[in-house]
Amino acid sequence: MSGWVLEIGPDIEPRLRRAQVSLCALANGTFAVVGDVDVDDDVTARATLVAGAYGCGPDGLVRPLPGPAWTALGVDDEGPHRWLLDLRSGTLTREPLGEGLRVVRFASLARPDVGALRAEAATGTVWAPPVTWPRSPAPLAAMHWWSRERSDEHDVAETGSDRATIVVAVRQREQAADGHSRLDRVAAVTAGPTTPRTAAERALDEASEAGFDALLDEHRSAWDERWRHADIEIDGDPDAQLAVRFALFHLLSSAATTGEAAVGARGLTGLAYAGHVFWDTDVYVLPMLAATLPDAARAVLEYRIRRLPAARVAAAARGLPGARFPWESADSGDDATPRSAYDLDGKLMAIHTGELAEHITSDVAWAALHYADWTGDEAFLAGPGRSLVIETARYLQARIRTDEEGRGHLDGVIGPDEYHVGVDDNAYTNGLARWHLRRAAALLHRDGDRDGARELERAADALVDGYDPGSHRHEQFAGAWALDPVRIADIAEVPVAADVLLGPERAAASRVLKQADVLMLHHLLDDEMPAGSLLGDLESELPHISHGSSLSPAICASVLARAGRPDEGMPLFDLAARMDLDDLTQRSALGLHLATMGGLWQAIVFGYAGIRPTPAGLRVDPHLPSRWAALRIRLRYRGAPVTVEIDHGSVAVDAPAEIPVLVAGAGALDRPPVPPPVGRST
Amino acid sequence: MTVILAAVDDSDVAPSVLATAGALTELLHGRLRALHVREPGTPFARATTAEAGVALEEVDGEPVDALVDAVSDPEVGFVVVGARGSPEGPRPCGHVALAVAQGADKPVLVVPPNGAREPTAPIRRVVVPLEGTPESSGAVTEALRLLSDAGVALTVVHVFDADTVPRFWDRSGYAEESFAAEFAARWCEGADVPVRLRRGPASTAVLDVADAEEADVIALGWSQDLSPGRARVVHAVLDRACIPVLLVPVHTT
Repeated sequence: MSGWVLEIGPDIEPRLRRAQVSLCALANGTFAVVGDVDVDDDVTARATLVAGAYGCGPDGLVRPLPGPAWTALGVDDEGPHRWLLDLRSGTLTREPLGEGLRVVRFASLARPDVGALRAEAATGTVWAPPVTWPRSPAPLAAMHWWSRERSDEHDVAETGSDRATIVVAVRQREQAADGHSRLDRVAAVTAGPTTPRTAAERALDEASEAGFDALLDEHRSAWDERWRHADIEIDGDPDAQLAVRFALFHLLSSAATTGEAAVGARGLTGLAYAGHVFWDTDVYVLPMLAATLPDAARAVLEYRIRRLPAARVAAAARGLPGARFPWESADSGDDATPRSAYDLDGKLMAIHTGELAEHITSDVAWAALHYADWTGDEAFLAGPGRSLVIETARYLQARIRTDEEGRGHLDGVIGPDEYHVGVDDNAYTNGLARWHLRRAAALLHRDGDRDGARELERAADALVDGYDPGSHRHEQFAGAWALDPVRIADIAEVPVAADVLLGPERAAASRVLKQADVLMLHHLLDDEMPAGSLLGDLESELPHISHGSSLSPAICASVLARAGRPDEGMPLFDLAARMDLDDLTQRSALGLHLATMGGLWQAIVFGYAGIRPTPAGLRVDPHLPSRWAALRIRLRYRGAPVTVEIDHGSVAVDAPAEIPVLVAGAGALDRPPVPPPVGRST
Repeated sequence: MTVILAAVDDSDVAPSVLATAGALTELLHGRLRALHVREPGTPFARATTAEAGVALEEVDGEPVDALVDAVSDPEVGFVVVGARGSPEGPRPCGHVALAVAQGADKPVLVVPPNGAREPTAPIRRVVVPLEGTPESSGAVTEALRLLSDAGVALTVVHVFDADTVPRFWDRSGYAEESFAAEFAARWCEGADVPVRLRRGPASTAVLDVADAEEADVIALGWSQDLSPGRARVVHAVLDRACIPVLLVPVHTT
């Protein structure tokens, strides 16, 4: 079981317990069970979180509605024990050291509205309380009411907000023999705008009839199937192996495979960041899902597609055509970004991302097109995906200011580097917008709308991107090169929250970045960047990046690999890999960093393996770090299973014959698009 | 019953010391002892305690030794001393106050010579800087539980400086909310305590929060180490605070 089981305990430093418990969140894309079994205090989280269930708190902020907790057990004899999170089977086991309570629980992957646990212990040492009030150190402000009803058949508990109700129905059976008791508890979780109690009780009846053992079997089978197309094996680095599988496990748990998936910044693992959907989902989480679990990626996109009407309203509110997606959103698709917050000087500061982070609109379009590139989903590209890409492009086209010389500008924006607010012509924003406009134009060309396509192409061609061909570098935004050129190494050891250390004003007056910005553009657009610019931009930007964002390290590791410097990026890769396992942010207790996990997958697949879906086929162009002996990646491309095996001397790709595969020799630096051979390669 | 020991000298701060000790005694439902180490000059201490209707215990000897000896009485829970210094000028903490705080194994409440606060006002709000380390939090938490149980509203301050700056700070607003929630859960023993996060010089941040919260007392954990370069925050807060400062030895549990 090496590399498949995360073991926690038996000795856990009490103050770190919440962060450790957080690692063990069990989700199935529809709901998650978070929290401890046997700690009964006021600060350890325990709740059922349901995707897309929100409520408005008294502060006006829309937050996740926590659902009733159904995993609580009373333990008379709390002996030493450890937790085993089995990533392969999606189960969490509380295992006693010697005699004591043993508990296995899971959120069923086979039945998205069902969870179950089995508790075994000496008779009389464990008691089973009913479903309980959710609790968390994070605000529970979204919960407006709570109720509980007990009957001989089952318990039903509900929590509600102004816009959603979560129902948890629980039935349990206890058997005792020879001084040993076994308690099987089955829970059905449903949510909706009105009381979805009937559905919960129906699901509970069906699951109860199946019984714990059958539910567990079908759950394990579902996880086997999921891993069959998603596993990554790393030879020679057991720590990275476990960390990567831990990340894949939570990514694969994060989104439903039908309907829509509102994947918040912490997924379903916690209440932090108000459960809001950011670009984290589109740019960091979606690629992994598109390449391994396409139905989930499609559900993530469906969340955006269903909010196109709200995006149109947002564009119109600015007097512009097309559709503009919000920087943060919850259930409605309206911009949920807070307008202000208290800063670390105790002053109320304005938050400008909702107004100025224009790149979100191209991020969403990039995700839609990236999904199409991986899956070849033509129906999506001809239908809802087309609308999304073209309408968002039309918003950007209208947002561009054309100067007297005919050059296009996007003024007053915030790029990925949020230390610099209200800048003009951010290279990431403009570069991605230009790519977005061109891809939208290509869709119009397919439909024969040449005039419309040319309009978008002209806008794309005119848009400046800060690139200086002489130095092969992009200026991060207009005027960035005139700022204080302080290097982060002269201030502190990375990673460091440089805005906290320096203060926002001093950070803004310097070239210090929160995270990859121009390099993020290289990461997403790869071969479409000017030849030679990756090395130039690495030289220009990397010394100033503080990595104060948890999104940054994995992306920089990835672009370093693409530049042929994989070993140089390994410390950054390790940071991303350990982000939650070592609680590097000191906030993992309130939810895991899903985007960091997505970045980790991208660092391996895009960076070290150099795998990309391209118009010509699946490209493989590896730069393996010396620490790893070999890498095996499973994924899906255009509906077919693909396995890529890489070591320091060879690349082997196992894919159906009809799948075009392009394999480049290792060692290429900053190269043009990979040349043929096309086809199966070993 | 917890004994609050008021160190009453012959300086102008003595009435404030006595009044503050009285407020603390009332808060904790304790018993007030007023102690005076006799020194040459005007016996102002007697007049002060007489006016307050408090019995004065007088002892001879070197003031610091006598006070530290008195503090070692197991019944004594808190000590209240005056910072000394001129009311009009800066407020350096005097040798005696610092030495008592350094030598005592109990929390010492240092009263400034001219506080903005009325000395007889009840103690309702206490600001508590916490570093977020086991060493600095344990004793402070213990002392503060007493105050909290007595109905005092506590506000915790955590200050990010060059040594404590977090590695990651994803999005302003949310990062503060999450960090504060987990900091409270981790270091405030589950108490429902608001946590204010600040950046910059710790002493300035603590005093700013105390001012903003209209605090009656600032409570600081400290290692009782006055060697050069140590206890800089304690020195700075004592020098600039206009309200009493409670110094809690971190090894006290």
